[in-house]
Amino acid sequence: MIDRITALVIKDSLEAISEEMSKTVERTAVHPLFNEVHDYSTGVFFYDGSDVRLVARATAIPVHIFASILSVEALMESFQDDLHEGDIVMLNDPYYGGTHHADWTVMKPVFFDGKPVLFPSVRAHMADFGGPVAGGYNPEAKDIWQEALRIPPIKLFEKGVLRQDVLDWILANSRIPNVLRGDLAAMFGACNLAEQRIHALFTKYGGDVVNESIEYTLDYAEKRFRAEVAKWPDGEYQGSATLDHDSLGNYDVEVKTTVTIKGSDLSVDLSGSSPETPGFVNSPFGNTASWVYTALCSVLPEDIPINSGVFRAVTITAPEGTVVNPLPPAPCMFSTVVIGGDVGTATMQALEQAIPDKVGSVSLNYCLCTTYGHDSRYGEMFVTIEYGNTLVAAGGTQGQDGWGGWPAPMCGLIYSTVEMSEIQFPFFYHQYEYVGDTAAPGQWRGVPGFAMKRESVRDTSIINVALTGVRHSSPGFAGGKNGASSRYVLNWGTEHEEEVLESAANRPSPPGSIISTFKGGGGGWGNPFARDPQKVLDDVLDEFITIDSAERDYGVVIQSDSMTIDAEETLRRRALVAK
Amino acid sequence: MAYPLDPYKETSATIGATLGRARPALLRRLSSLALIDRRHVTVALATADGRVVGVDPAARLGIVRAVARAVCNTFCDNVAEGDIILTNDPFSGGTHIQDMTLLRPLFVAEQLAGWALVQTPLPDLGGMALGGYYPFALEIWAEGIRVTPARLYRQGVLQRDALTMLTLNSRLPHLVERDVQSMVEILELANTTVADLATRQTPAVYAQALDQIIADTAVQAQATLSELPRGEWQGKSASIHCCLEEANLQVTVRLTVSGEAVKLDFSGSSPAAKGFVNTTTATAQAAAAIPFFSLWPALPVNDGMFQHLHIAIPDNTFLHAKLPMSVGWSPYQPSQAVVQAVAAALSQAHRTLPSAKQLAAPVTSPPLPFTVTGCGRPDCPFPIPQSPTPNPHEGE
Repeated sequence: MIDRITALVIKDSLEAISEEMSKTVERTAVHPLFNEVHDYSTGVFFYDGSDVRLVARATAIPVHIFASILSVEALMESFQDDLHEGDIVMLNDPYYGGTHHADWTVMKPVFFDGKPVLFPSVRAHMADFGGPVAGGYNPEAKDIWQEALRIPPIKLFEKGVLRQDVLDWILANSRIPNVLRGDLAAMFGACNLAEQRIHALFTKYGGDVVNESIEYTLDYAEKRFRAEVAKWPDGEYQGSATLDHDSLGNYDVEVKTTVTIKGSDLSVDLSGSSPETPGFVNSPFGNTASWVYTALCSVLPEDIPINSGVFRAVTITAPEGTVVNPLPPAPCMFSTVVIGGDVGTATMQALEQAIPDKVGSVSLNYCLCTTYGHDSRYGEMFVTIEYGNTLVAAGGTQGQDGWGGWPAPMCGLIYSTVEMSEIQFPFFYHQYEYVGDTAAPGQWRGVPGFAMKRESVRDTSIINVALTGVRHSSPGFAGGKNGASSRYVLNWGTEHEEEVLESAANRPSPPGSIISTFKGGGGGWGNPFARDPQKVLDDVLDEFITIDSAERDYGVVIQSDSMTIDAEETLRRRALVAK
Repeated sequence: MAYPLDPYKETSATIGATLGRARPALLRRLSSLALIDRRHVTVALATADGRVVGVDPAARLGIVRAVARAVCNTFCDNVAEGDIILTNDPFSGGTHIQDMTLLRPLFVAEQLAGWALVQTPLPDLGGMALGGYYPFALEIWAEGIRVTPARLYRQGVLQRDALTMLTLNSRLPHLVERDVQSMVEILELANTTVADLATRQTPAVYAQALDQIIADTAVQAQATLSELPRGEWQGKSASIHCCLEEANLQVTVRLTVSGEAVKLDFSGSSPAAKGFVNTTTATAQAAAAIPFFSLWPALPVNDGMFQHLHIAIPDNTFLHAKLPMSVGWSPYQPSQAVVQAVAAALSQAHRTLPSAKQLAAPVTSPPLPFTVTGCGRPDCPFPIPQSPTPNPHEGE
């Protein structure tokens, strides 16, 4: 039997390898989506001869790396008897081990004793991969072929030799092939580096010790998770979340969850969710499962290792043909954020009834903008996602206001700076800031909403928009208020000004035209009238809220001349509300 | 003692017989024949360096010639016996996304001795519209997936993952897989026949015979061209409709006959379009040569026909499509317009050419199994939809 110290050293080694992979990608990739925004994830997977398990990951995007389990499973199904040292396999197909077209998974089998045992993998959001709409988010898509190129598990390297023709074929289906080539090379490099490190681990400890350590780590994670669940009250808890629309005229798409806790067993049943929709929000099972795991992992103590040991203790039921487990060829490009996020929210809402002190926002409620065009400064095409109008979504949790921008499960993402963006793309930013009086009130408030005004300069860009979180904004928890509604305006400040209510595709944005966006933040947590008055005053002084809002939303009266709290009046107002 | 055959005649006869068997056999095998334009079903043979020595049907000479050359440029130093290359990429010598070409190198005594080629439209390869005809496509990626030249078979071994990527991108994957398999079978048939010949003759003799066949055609074609009166003539096509533009497009060509060479200059043709009527130079050149076939009714159809035709297509016209323009309709109305314009010019130089006038007849729509909804304007060539389809890019 493996000793615990050795098991811990090997667990940490695999996590260090994942981190090193992540740094390799960050430092060598081309597109800012990678080297600035960090919209990729790395991890190491284990194949025990029958099942694939996630054993280690770097700090990254959960929906990427949790869903990559299915990617490695798809790899094994496709190449079970035809895997060799030096092979590198990739895929992106949502119904073939992927989640949506944009997320490409690159995997490399690492062999011990002639068998593929460990699979270092990188999953990343690629900037463009063909299809009718640059960036792949086609709000008019009615089937998956109207979204982009579908890539099943395919070998890009065979026994260490690049299949140049296959790579060229894939690159030919991108508007920015040279960028894509560089980003793929970064992913290959990360996997190759991980292979070296894993071989060193095998050499130092032997394959059997490594394998036993992995099993120990998985068992440990499961044991810790079950022990945690056992502390939660038994019961059946219902949650739901509603998506504004699917971009094709279908409204109020619902996700329903029933979380059942019985002793140390936990199951999540998504029965009752809406049938799959014609629009591009359908969430393939891998994506749905990832969001369930994301919600669950968010409520766990930090010292529980997040790996398949946790996941195997959870039973997920998602009926086929629903929006949470669609059948091909349902389009699904938007699913990693919206219906996926709704799965996370609905799971959190169910958990709220059992463990209210631990819950909070996990989802984004997206306000999406992809931009495509030709930058005459460089003589090159570009495709990028505007992160400025997705920035904020973090809600309050007990003991913590919604901080920064994205919620904790998305904190692997890093803001792109406006200065760099203006260099990289033909944009000029007029506004990029929090907006006062937009933070969702709560004992712990949500992050304020975020406004952006971006002008197209020099060249005409093509803009695609999909907007959610308007009628159903990010919910509050435990008595906290909902986040603000998002807005999106094209040609702002002109006679052609147009407010986008749901989506818009292939809209030209000529030089001088401005898009104006407002992204509502996450919900609050707890009764706002229980918020520490000093924190309310701090928010006033920081201009997150006004004096009026302090009084109206929090019952805190502030003397405008001295900017101090009127304690007596505050007590009186709060007492009135309490009655 | 066997009577020694003339290698030239034997090779010509074998090419003719092989093509004569192969195309009908392919047509019999294709599962999606009812869903595609059968006029695009083509078989051809080429030299080791990609010059076409025989093609059926003849009108597809220019089309397969461009593909053969493009693939040869990519693979001739990196191809092995048993390889099969596939491509549909309009910007790698193809026409439009639908037309998939498979090429198999012919090896004799471990030397590359030629290529067998089959081309057939596949019923669907993704994109916005079933069948791939999408009048509102702003770019080629809205029409389907590009397949740049890639190996489907490597040294006789099917690259299963590559085939899966192809079929996964089709709404009709089973038909696509069966049709690709049929194309592979026809390549095998052609390869076997020609390989027997080349082996018997020796590769060197076979290569000489192919060169001779092309050279003879070039000489005879030149002789006919030199009989044309010297001078300059102009031809124009009827207008070409584009659902994404108000103004129609037109092909203009200037035919110059100066001794042994004939020059076709397409300057003055309409500029690049927004929609899928843009045409690659390969497709335009293929169409430009078609009226000349009327001058050469008895000539073996091969690369030699192009030797003395100098075709200039300025890059500021819609006949010089560049990536990522959509080109889905190019083999139809735009190609027919090229034929029409060239025929109009040629019929002035050669007034007794009956079929030139016939070629200049009004353009008709090709047979299409899928409903293509256009803009609904009066000159739109597509069936008028129940209610006019709004232009999704209106106001751009």
